[in-house]
This record gives sequence, C-alpha cells and structure tokens, in this order.
Amino acid sequence: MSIIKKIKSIILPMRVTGKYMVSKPFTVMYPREKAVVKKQWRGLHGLHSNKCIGCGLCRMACPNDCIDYIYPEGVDPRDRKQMKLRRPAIDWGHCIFCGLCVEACPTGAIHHTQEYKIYATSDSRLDLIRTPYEIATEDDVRKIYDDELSKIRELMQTDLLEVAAGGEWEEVIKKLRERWRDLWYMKLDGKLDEETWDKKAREIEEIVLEIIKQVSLP
Amino acid sequence: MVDPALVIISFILNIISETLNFVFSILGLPDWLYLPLFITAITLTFLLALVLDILFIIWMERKVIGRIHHRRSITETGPVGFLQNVADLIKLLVKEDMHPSNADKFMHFASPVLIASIALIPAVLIPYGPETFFMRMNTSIVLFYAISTLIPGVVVLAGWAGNSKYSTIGAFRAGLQLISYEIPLSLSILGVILMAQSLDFYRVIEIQSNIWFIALQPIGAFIFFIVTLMELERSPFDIPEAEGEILVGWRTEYSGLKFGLFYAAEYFKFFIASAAFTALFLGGWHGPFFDSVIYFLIKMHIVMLAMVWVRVTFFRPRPDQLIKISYTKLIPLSILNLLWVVLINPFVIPLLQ
Amino acid sequence: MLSSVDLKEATIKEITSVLGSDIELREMKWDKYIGFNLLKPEKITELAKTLKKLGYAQPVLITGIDRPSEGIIELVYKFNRVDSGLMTWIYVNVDRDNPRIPSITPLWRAAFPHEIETYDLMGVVFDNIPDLRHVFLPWDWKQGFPLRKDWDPNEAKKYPWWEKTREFYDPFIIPSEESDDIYYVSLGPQHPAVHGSFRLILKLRGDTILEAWPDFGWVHRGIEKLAEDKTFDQIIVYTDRLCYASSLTWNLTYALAAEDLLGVEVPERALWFRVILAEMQRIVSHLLWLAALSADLGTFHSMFLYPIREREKFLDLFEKASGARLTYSYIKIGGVGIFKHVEDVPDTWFNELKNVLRDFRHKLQEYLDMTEASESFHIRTKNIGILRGKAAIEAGATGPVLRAAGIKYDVRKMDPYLVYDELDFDIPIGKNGDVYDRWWVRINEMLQSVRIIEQAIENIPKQGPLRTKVPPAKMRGKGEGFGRTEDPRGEAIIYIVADGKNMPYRIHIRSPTYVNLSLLHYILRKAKFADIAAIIGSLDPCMAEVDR
Repeated sequence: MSIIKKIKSIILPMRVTGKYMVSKPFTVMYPREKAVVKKQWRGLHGLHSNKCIGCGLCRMACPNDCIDYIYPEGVDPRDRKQMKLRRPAIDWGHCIFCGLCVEACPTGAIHHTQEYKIYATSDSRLDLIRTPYEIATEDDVRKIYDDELSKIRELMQTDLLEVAAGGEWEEVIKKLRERWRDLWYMKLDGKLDEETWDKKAREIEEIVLEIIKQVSLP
Repeated sequence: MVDPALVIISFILNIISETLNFVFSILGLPDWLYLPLFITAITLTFLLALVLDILFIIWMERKVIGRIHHRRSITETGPVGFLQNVADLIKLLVKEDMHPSNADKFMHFASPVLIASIALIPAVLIPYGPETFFMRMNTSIVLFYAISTLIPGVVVLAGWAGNSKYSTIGAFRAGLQLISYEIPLSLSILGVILMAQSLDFYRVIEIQSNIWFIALQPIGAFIFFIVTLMELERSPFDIPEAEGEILVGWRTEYSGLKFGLFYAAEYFKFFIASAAFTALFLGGWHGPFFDSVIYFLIKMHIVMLAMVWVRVTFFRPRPDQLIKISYTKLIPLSILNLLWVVLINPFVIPLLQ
Repeated sequence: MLSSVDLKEATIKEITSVLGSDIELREMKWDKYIGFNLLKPEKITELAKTLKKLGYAQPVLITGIDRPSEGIIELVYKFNRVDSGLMTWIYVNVDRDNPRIPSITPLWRAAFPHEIETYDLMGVVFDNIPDLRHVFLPWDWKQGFPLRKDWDPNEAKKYPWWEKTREFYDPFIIPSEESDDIYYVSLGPQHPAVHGSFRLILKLRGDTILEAWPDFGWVHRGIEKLAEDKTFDQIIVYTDRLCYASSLTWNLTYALAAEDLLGVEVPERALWFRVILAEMQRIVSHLLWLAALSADLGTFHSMFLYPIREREKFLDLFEKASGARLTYSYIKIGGVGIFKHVEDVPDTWFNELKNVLRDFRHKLQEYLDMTEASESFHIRTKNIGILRGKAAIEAGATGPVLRAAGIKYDVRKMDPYLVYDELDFDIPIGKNGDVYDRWWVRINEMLQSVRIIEQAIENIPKQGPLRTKVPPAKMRGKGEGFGRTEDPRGEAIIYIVADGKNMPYRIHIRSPTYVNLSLLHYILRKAKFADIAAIIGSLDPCMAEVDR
C-alpha cells in the first residue's frame, strides 16, 4: 500500500511536467505578436478636441494631480472668457490610468485609447507630459482632418450665402478659425509638419474659393 | 559495420599529426617535443568538444525547462536561441571582478579555479568508446569518486571565503550533503563492481554487451540516480544553494568570471556524472549494429534530460530531512541491492561473459 | 447557542455591572454592534478582562482619532467574538498632550500590533506594553507623529537619515557573548522568502531558530494620511494600491465603508456582481499565493508558473470588465463600473467566466498531482509553523490562518455583507494549524469560490443598473463608516470618520497581513532555518498591505 503511494508520488508529478514538456507554449511572442487589449482597456488618453469644452472637471477629478492645461498661442490664460479654448495635457509619468478623468468628463471628449506603450524619447521625465494629440495615429489625423473639411464645407455654404445676402465677413472668419483650431493643436504637437500644414491650408483655401465662385461673390 | 564516429576521430587525429609534422619540419624542432605537443593538441581538441557539448547541454536544459514551464525560453539570440549561452558567457567575462570587504582574497580567488579544474579531471577516466578513451586503469572507478569527493571540501572553503552568513550556511549545508550521499553512493557502485568483478570502467562497460546493469539491479540504478542528483546539487537537492532560503548559498558573494567558473564547474560535473551513470548502468557504448561513442553520447544526453525533468518536478527537502532520507531509506535500500546482487551473481556472471 | 440579541444583552448587562459609572452605553449607527464610552482610560484593563471572560476573543482593531480642537485623542477599540461575529466598540478619550493608557497586550497578544502602530503614528503611549517602539518609522524617530492633524510634513525632512551608519540598521544585532554557537541573521529586507520588503531578525543556534523579530516599515507610504485630503471618489484609487494581489477586495471594503458613511443604496444587480468579482479576486490572490509558496519550497518554478498561467485567464476577464489587470478601481461608491460608455458587462463575459471556471477545476487537479500526491511536498509542509486553536485566536490571526488552526470563523458567514447570506458555501477548516493545513484550507477556499461564482452567475438579475450615480454634491458625510470583509488574507476593515466635508477626517485600515505577520514571533520558534520560507509563504504576506 505504502509502496504504491510512494511510486504514485513519483509518477504523478512527473506525468504533469512530462505532459507540458511536449505541449505547445502558452506564452505570446510579445514584440512580434501584438498583445491584444480588450475594448475596455484603460490605455493612454485620447481627446476629441471638438467635443472638449475646457471645463476643468478632469483636472479636479485626478487623484494624482497630473492633468494641466495648455492654451493656444495668443490666448491669455487669465482671460476667463477664453477658457473654453484650453485643452488638457497629461503627465503620463504620473498618471495611474484610473479612469476618473474619463468618468468626470461631461461631454465624453477625453477617453482611453487602446494604446499601451508609453515611453520617453529623452532622459527627461518632462518628455512624458503630452497632450492627447500626440498619440493620434496617421489615421486619426486623417479622420479629424476629413471631419473638419466636411464641416468647413457646410459652414461655408450656409454662411457665405448669408454674406452674399449682405452678412458680415468677420463672423465667418471667426467661425472658420474655431474650426481650424484642432488642426492647429495638431501642429503644436508636431503631428503635422509645416509642409502638410501648408498643403492642407491651401486645400481649404481652394474650397473657399470654389464656394465663393459658386455663390458668385466678389 | 564501420563506426562513423571512429572515422571522424581518426580524421581529426590525422589532421593534428599532419599539422604537427608540418610545423616540425618548418621550425626544425627537436623530436622529444613531439609527444607533449601532440598530447596538448588532443587535449585542447577534447576540451573544445566538451565546451561545445556543454553549450548544447545548457541550451537543451533551458529549452526543456521552458517547455515544462509552458513557456518558450530563449528564442532571440542565434537560431532557436542557441547563441544565448555564448552571449551570457561574454557578459560574465566583461563583468567587474569584485570581492566583499573583509573576505579572504586568496581563497575567494582560488576556489572558483580549484572547483572548475577538479571538476574536469574525472573526464579523462571515462572510456567514451571502445577505442576512444584517454587511459585504462585497474582502479579507475575508485579514482573517479575519490576526485569527485574533493569538490565539497572546496565548496566549504569557497563559502567561508565569501565572508557572508548566508554563504557560510550554504557551505556547511554542502558539507552536510556530502556526508548524506557518500555512503549510498559507494554502496550502489559496489553492486556494479561486484557484478562486473572489476574496478575498471572499461571492463564494466565491456561486460554489459548482452544486458545492461540497469535491468539487473534497478534499485541500484535508482539510488545511484538520486545520489548523483545530490552530488550535483541540482534541484530538488539543491540544498546548499536553495534560492528561496539562503539566496544562492555558498555562491552568494561571487559574480562575474568567478561565478562563470562555478557555473562551468556545475556543468562539467553534470556531464561527467551522467557519463558515469551511462557507463555504470546503461551499457556505455553498446548499441545495435556496432559499438560506438555515438551511443554513449546519446545515452548520456538522455540521462541529462531525465535529470532536468526531475529538477523541475519535486520539492526540495530540508537539510535534516535529507540526512534522514539518506540514512533511513537510501542506505537500507542500497544494502538490499547489494544482497540482491550477491544472490543473483552466480547465475548472472556466466551470462555476461 | 445564544442568539445574537441575547448575547448583546448579556454583554451590556455584564459590562455595566462591572464598571458601573465609569462606562456609558453609546448609541450606535448599527444595530448589530454594541458601543460604549469609557470615561476613565485607566479602566480599560478591567474592561478588557470582562470582555475576555464574556467570550470576546480578539481585539480586532485599535486606533486613534486626533481631535486637536477638543484637546483629545479618541481611541477606538473593537472587540470581536469568533463564534458569532458580534463586535463591541469601546471609545476612550485620552489627553492629547499626555496621551497615556494602560496596554491590554499582557491580556491579549493580538492587541500588540495595533497598539504599537497607534503609538508609532499617533503618539499614544501604552503603559505596561512589553516592547514599545516605532514599527513603521525608524526606531530613533523624534520628528513627531505623522497621523496627528497638526503635524508638519516638513518635520520629516529634519530626520538625519544621511548620518545613519550600518550599525543603525542592525539595532538588534548584538555581538553575542551568551554562547559560541548562537548567532544572529538578518533576513531581508531584500530576500526571496519575504515577498516584498520586511526584515526578520533571527537568533539561531545551529539550524534552529531560537527567536525571531519581524521588522516592518521599509516602504511605508502613509496611505491613511494621504487619504485625508482626497475626496471619497479618489480614495478608491489608493485602495487599489493596498495589496497588489487582491486590489479588488480592498476596493470593495472601502466602497462598503464609504456607502455606509454616505448612505448610498446599491442596486441589486451590482451586489451580485460584486460577489462574483470578489470571489474571482480571491481565486486570483490564492493562485498567486500558491505560486509563491511553491517557488519558496523549490520546484524550480514549475509549480510557480502553472498557477500564474491560470491567474492570467482570470486577469483577462478582469481586463475585459474593468479595463485593468491589476489595479482595477472597479468597485465604486454606489455600485460597480467605470465608464459611461460601458455601463454593463456583456453576457458573453459570464459565459467566458463559466468556461474559465470549468477549466480551472480541471487544472486544480493538476496542482494536486504536483503537490498533494508528491511526498516531497508533504515532508516540507507538515508539522511546521504550528499555530492551533485558542493560541491562534489570542495571537490575532484571522482568515485562512485562523481557519487552518481549526476555528470556524469567516466574516462572510458571521457578519454577512453583500448577498453572501443567500449563497450556499462551506468554510473549510484545518486540524493541526501547520503549513500543510493552511495550504489545504486555501485550496478548498478556491473550490468554494468556484461554487459561489457558479451560484451567483445563476442568480444575478439579467437586467438592471450596475451603479447608482452619486452626484459630487452628495459625496459628503458626517459620522462613521465601517466596512468589514473577508479578504483573501483575513479580516479586512476600513473605518472612516468624517466631519461633513467631501474628504474623510480620518481613515483607518486594518490590514490582516500586518497582524498575521506579527505571529512570526511565535511560530518561528524552534523551526529550522529552511522552514522560514515555507512558514512565511503559508501566511501569504502582502507587504503593500502592511506598509500601507
């Protein structure tokens, strides 16, 4: 009886390990096979800039004080009326990806992306402070751009008709600028280089001219 | 049939002697230098082969353990990760040489060298093939184990020289391990010696041409296998270097090249101990069609595979339990094995001849 | 057996008759607990004696609340019965400038870790305590008591850490003149067996341990202090960091306490879902423990990696639900959930969970083949680190350690929270209280957790909200909040005191590991040096929880 138990105590563990000796590995070859993250993954943050209203709730919700705001060029941070133009920048060196800022956002502008790689390109920790545009992929840039373009098209068509009927030019230009803002933020983050920026600007110019022709303005 | 290994070996020997002849004729060296240089060249060739084989063994062990762990192990450096060991070796070589303050500098330096060289010596006593051996000696088995027994002594010195409480504990555990495995080891070899009626490895292998000793005395082989694991300080009997308890025991204070020498010595020992198991119980070079060093190597590597398998399967006993296992289980079992051998010897010996 | 109402009445009667006018009954927020105001601090010993006679087994929590405006430190003692889970709370005020109170450690060893912690961080001096010293702070700390409200954090910078020599870190190691064969070993703070960073100072003769002193506080983070200026929502994130192996159960404990304080109702579906998550977390935590214990016992990591592999499947499920693999922050005040766009868990999630559980049952058999069937495991775990019966209670053990000692005590049964009273499960108990029994209890707990999850998947309402939204304006509370759960490591308690702001006034965390590890002082005696790894591993230490 005890001899059988002794033999079992040798054979049973050997059987388990022996089974795995000839079975396929369980692990994933990570850098080559991409790790699959789930839909709910709390990855690096993204920002739908046209939804953001600059309210400041995400900064208040952050338990780690890692959200601060950046302002577009030429905007005085002390001017309370211009506050809606500010956008959050996140220090990913401090961020713990708890999701409280996403939960706090009233418009759903700040959100988690599936991106999980976080790295600094220099020795400085400051390198990890980024605006959410920086992780936008080429596709995202294109999408935002196309989105903007179609909106500008709509805007022009309605507004220029108004101008043709005797409206103000300045109103139209102001609206155009607001639409232009997202692309400007992208340029700020280095997602758009000067050349592309110029190209896109020219494209929009062409559209404007085309519409002007259509509504036959001077 | 012709033994292919022998053809290769004689080819290598030819190359060596031709090169030497060429060198002698050019430089005009005196004739009495020929023999020493020839021996040195052969030894270096053997060492090269040994090191290559050990690189393969380490690779195999890492791969097999990886698979048993249900993971992949090394994959990146070289084809299927084979060159990883070379990379590790280079890393160990370029590391800074350090010793703890207040350590015994001389012993701290000397013990790795001592262990590595002592561990290598028994390799010359084993006959790898019917024509492939360094020396024949009437008492080679005795000498083999006499040299192996020196190593724990140096281990105690090495642990003491580290000047750390953990390495001292590890060193004394190594001594304790020695006293627990020595008796069953001798007794299980005695079974083989009685059956072969010789103290010579060559004779022991020769006599197993019809039937291997593992079939005639399985208990002896089992005990010898376990005791070999204890001697090699391999898990589950890695008591002197139990990582979860005493860090890495007597090796705690060694790094860089010194650690590399310990590591090399561990695999020299591994190589030699599995060769001894093959010679004593698995019929050495005997196999179908012809007798060859190839069979010896294949069997040896299978023994190594078994040792790796055992390594990842069982829990490590406590030092006091090790002594208890050894004195209350292994020694009675090996005496039983001796009795068995004495009983069947009259019937078996005529068959073996 | 007496019902809990009878027990309460008996307790109140006995205590008032013994202490008379020195004590008054306090109106409690909860019916199930008894509260007293002790008017004279020096009577605490007498009170404790009476409670012990009545059958109260453990002082489960002792802490202080600093109230500088009133010039007092309010001490709260919580005594627990292991046979019914009934608690008696004692409130004592001591003078803030000269806080002194008799210690109850001579009566109950279990009080010791709590008392020295209160001294360490709050500055209350306990008379007659055997060894009054700093635990988390350095032993020569003179820079005030951090948990007091008027403590200036800049004081800490004045501590001359740069002057410390090597001798400072070895205050216990005296060159031994007692005998030649006695020597001291400092095990840790970096050592594979200590699972984090704490230190054991060992006095050894040969291979046998004569005495052992655990030494904590190497990575103390002061979460209790940090939480005092975070809003109730934000503290959830800190509770994640209390234990890397079971962060969700700490989320749960905190959420229970905060909901208790703020008076938030939790939807039915969320209650059931919380049970599923908490039991999953228990399995995950126990798997990590099994892996670590096996690695310590030395199978060259094969038994380390098999449980880790199964844990991975559960973590994938957690990731699918909460979006994180380790620090979930998933259980929120008012329910479960994080995002607005993912209000609910998909039905497929439950099916996947069922598959994982089925696979897990099968894999558990493999672990048993590797451990239970193997004699090499038995000889390493049996008859070492013995802590049995009454000694375990008096020393303050909770959770699997107490159950392995043969005491049938589980908060899920004794003081049910969530919907545990509607579920059918057993409490596995051990006989000898050795390492093997602790292993056995935890393995069976995993099986029971599988049973609970399977029942909960059947019973969870298919539709309904998972979370009550609490507007920030309502995140203000006054009074006390109390959360008590059965953590994988023992009894976890979070006690919140608030004064009407949106932040707590004081938050106290009872860490089961901290108390369990202070047991090492007993159970390591007479053990062999090689058993240390097994014994520490069997207590399942999580140092993040101790150095909270």
